[in-house]
Amino acid sequence: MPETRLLLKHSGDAAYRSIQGYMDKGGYAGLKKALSMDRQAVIDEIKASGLRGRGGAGFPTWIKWNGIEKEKTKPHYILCNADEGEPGTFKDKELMENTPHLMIEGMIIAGWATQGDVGYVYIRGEFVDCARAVKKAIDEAYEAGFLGKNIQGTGWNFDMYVHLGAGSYECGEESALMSSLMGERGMPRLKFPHAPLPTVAGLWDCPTVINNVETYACAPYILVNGGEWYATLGASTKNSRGTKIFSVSGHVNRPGNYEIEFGTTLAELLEMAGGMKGGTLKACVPGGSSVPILNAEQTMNAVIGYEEMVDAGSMVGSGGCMFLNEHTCIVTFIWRTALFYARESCGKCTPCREGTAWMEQILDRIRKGGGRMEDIELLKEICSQIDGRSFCGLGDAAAWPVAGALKVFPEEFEYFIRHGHSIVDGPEYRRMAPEPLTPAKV
Amino acid sequence: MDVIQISDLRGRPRAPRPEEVNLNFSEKAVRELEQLLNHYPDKKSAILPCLWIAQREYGGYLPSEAIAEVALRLDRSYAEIEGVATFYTMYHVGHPTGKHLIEVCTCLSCHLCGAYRLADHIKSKLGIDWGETTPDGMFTIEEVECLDACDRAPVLQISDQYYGPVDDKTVDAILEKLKSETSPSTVRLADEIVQAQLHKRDQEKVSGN
Amino acid sequence: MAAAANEPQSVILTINDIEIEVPRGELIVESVKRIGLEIPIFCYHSRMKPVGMCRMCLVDVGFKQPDGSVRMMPKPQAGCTLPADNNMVVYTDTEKVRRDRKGVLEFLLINHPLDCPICDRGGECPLQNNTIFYGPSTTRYVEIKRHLPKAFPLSKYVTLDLERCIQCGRCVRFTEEISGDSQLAFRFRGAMMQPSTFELTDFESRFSGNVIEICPVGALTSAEYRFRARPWDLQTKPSICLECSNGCNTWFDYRVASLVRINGRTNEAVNEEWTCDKGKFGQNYLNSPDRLTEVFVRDGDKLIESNWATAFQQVSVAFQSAGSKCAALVGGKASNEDIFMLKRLFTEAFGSNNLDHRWTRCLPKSDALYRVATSIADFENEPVIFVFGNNIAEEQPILFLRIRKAWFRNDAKVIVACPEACEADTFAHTSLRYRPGTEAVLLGAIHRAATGAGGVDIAEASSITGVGEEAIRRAADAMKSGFALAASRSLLDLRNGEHVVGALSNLTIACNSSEKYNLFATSANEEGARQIEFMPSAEGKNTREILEACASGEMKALWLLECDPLSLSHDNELVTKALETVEFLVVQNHIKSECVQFASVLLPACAFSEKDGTYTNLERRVQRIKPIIAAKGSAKPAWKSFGELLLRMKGDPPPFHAHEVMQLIAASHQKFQSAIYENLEGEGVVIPANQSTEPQAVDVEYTAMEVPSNTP
Repeated sequence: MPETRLLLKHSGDAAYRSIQGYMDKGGYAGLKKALSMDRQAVIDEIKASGLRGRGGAGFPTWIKWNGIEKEKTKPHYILCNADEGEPGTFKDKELMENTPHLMIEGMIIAGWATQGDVGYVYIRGEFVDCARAVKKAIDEAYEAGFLGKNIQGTGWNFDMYVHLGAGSYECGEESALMSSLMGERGMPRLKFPHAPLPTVAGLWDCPTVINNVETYACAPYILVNGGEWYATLGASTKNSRGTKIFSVSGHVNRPGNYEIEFGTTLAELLEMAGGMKGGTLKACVPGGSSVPILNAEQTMNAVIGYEEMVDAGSMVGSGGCMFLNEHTCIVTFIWRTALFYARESCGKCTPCREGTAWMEQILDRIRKGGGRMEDIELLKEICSQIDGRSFCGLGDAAAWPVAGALKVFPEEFEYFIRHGHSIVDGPEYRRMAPEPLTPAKV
Repeated sequence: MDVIQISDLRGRPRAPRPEEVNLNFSEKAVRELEQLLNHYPDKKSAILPCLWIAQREYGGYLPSEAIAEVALRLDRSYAEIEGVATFYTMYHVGHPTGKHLIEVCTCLSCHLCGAYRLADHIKSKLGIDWGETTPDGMFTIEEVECLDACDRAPVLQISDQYYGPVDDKTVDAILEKLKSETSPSTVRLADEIVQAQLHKRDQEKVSGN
Repeated sequence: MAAAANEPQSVILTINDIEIEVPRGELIVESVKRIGLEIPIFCYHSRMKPVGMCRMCLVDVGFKQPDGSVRMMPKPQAGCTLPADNNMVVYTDTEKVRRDRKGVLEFLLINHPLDCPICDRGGECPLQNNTIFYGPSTTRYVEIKRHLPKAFPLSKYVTLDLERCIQCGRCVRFTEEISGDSQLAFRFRGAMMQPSTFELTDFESRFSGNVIEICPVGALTSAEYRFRARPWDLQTKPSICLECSNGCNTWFDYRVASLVRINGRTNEAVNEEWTCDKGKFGQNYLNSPDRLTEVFVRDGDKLIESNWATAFQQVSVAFQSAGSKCAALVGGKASNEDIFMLKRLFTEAFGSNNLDHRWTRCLPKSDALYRVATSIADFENEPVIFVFGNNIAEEQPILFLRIRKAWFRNDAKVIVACPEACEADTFAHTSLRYRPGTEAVLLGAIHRAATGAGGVDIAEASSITGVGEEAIRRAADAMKSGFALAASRSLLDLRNGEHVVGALSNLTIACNSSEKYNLFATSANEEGARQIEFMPSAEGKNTREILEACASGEMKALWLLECDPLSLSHDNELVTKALETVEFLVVQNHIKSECVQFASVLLPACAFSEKDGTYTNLERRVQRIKPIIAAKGSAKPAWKSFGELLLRMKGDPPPFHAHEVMQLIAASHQKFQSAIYENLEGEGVVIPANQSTEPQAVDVEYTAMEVPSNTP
């Protein structure tokens, strides 16, 4: 299947960033339609669309919206998770920079459907460009009467603010994001069944809808064209509907964001990105650093869909797809992945705090030539001691890539340990590997 | 943090009393904070934005006076503010950075595209290692985790700008250009982040229109 | 929400195939205790909000499906955060759970130093204990351990060892949730996360000692106890703290015959399990060389060591000849038994009624003004609390914790009126910072604002007290439909103390809260002395009159029991004159004090750790102490010495045991009947208040008074 540009349709159009250009292309029609509809009908439309959260977990969006109390007793908050931090993912960045109104419109629709009072866009601190674009768009939306008091004569008030993070991957986890927004260390909070769902007690203990940028951005299209229409996209898959933006990077000729219909294959995605660069395909991390790595064969057979990807041995995740060429040392790559999680672990729970650091230490030792055969078994054990035992998903996400690589590329680890250097070598490898290096030939 | 000898069991210097803390925020900063406080139902939620203001006001980093001032302005304890500030990598607690902070992403995609080699080049050119500052106080180089601009790998961030994909040559040009900029770009970053959180009408109130 | 109210308050779940019924919402970690099981924990603490950080308590959880099958959750769940629910199925001891526990312990131990042999926590360390029962026997960690500062002096009481820390956050949460000073917070993140004060400055807290006790490893240790003993070498006995009137329950850890450390002992009605630093670290006087251990009698200008017989001889002669011209004053650390026997000695043998235990400037006659109606634990459930007067965290630390808990847990509105910045301000609904001396005016204004009548004009009061009108109205608004008063008898030290206390009483009456009026005692057994009526009867003299009579030479003999008037009285000039002038002065104390220089006879008394007896705390809770270590030198319990004197002078058979004294107390003071020793195990016994008629409003002058400036 070719690229299906829906959210990114006007991404290259500079005028689309302003409210005028956006409305010229039919912007805010979805919101106007929603405001003319019954609140529940809006939620039903989202339900019909089959939209699932685009942040990584793939949770059905309508269930969150529907979970907000219908008889209002407290303020309701609409929270946008724009703390994109998953290595390999840069879709939200493009959406916020190029199509900020799309996301804002989606948030206002969510606000209308759930009787929201205030919306917050939590953007990671590094994304200053995004924050500027979103802030400008919010100002415009206020002036056009889509935000503020008595929106479009409905008598409904809705405010929206930008809140910037300050450097923490963990804050992309929804409950940690709420902690951070409330001025705390970005540590995750208790989740259901240990505590009420965010839709019951989220921000400041009030009902809160939290979705990813891309999820909100889908809402205007669903409202304009109908949920049933949206559900026709990706109908070839088991239970994934609509389009998904994949951020393609790594050793490809044309890295960038590609919006595809579910049911597209990874091979087609690679084709869109101009094919491999600097060598043949060795491996692929299809959904951001947290998902298990696929080898070339698995990659070429994988169909993109929430369930289909699991069958292929990995996950859709956040759509950060990295293709690795033949000169890549998997051991080094996985060490770097482990280093990322060790640095980003918030420290709240034992398995993640200690386990991620330990894994990084072992992999670092292996990559420096000091590996022991028993390290492979030890790493597997540590992964199983973290996976499912940590407080939040970060621990799982740290364990999966390591466990996955040990399963898919055991020979690379064994070779490295046995010989004290990588199975691959050459200038391309050495360009990728950090000092100190243990190449076969110096 | 130095290891203290067991023999030194005399207790510690005490934290400053509220009345001993100098409030150094400019008038503008105070008004900005006022506007930001309107965004949230409680004062605590303004800790992150307020730390950004402080980082700008105190010249690109957070000395202990900055932590104390934020704590007093938001009615929180010093320890809590320090705990929050040290959690996030973009706040520079305690130690100033160079005027220009070069943040090199070495995470997955950038590492695949040669970020470590690029970093070696910058390090040897500036004669400093990770986390160090050049003797003239101009540059600090830091390794950062994924900046989420993997399509532009290898990428680096200086102040509010992303640069990528960069190679040795383009980096040299960037450094050359930065040398002529004397105002600290770290302060600009903090300011941009503060401004991005203020609505147009907030900004108008701050500037008094 | 309406549906939730109708749901049954208990749920039925299955733990290890045993079906039990537990209250809805009870945490699994607590539910398992009902069937005699235990889940290992580190971060969980029943008095603080569960956080689920350490993951030690992971259990397997599933739910019974309508078809009778059980669907297990894919991931193990933290038992310390999971509320019990119907149809829940919990397994605490499966192979999988054992493996998870081993895994968590392995993670905790990889960076934990192996300095257990020199660690103060060794032997009573939850990490050691859990490792023995649930942990791996060997390590697979071959990397370099994390190195961080050790033996870091966080304050003069608390030493921090960051290498030993397992980041459970108990100490951080204690300062946030319980003590409220937020002195500790986690800094940095991930593997480098560490609890610390702001930039490692001094850990300034009234309650810092508690973090030592709740730390599940040796990361926070006591600077004083460091390296002084091994826990298994210590003997421990229950005791009571006498540093203030709260009556905290403590564990008294000792070795040979000296105190090594004090730990908090659980008494839900009093201190829960907390101690304040004064109580935990302030007991070193017991081992002090200043202890009074021998009898001394005066010989010219010298005091020479003597014996009880000689002293008794001199005392009986002097006091008998003084007749009604003798008096006795007691301090706060004398037990019920001491006070009662001293009273008997004076009334029965010497024929004197010049007795008092009060040291405040004002000594109102009305018993009603001294009443106490609300217990410490009751404060937890009071919706509106009025804290008036001196810093409550300083005067009544444990009561302060309860009042803070009322706010933290139950959203109580706490109105704080204090002349200086105080800890209670941090959670106050309204803070009323008044100028010293304007207490009565402020109360008059609140009175007017709450009732619309009486008291004083609010605007005028605002300018006199320095408290904003708005704040006065806001406080009055919260209080007008009822409040519980927390004030202490130190208010009577004000020159218009009687009026201030009267104004408080009038305010409670006006707000229908006279049954929640509390004027608390400030020293350990002040309330006991009051209940035993160690006060002048009709013809007797009170403290001030006694001191004046001594100074004028009218009073011939004075007995000071467990008190140092020079530190207790507001008028040192008078005290000095009195002590210099009085012909015969007996000083009976467990420690030497400044007034020793004036003594004719010095009698050594046992400290609380060396004697049997009871103390009555501020809520009239009678609690028992038992002798823990041997009496020092010739010291004996004061009540015993009085019995011996009574025998000598009147031939009365002396009580041989403290419980006999209590029986005597109960015989003459009916309210003590419930406080016989057999009843005093456990939480102690609260004796009933004096039967008093409906409190009546009193005439009060709502005026300010000049306060002499104390600044040099």
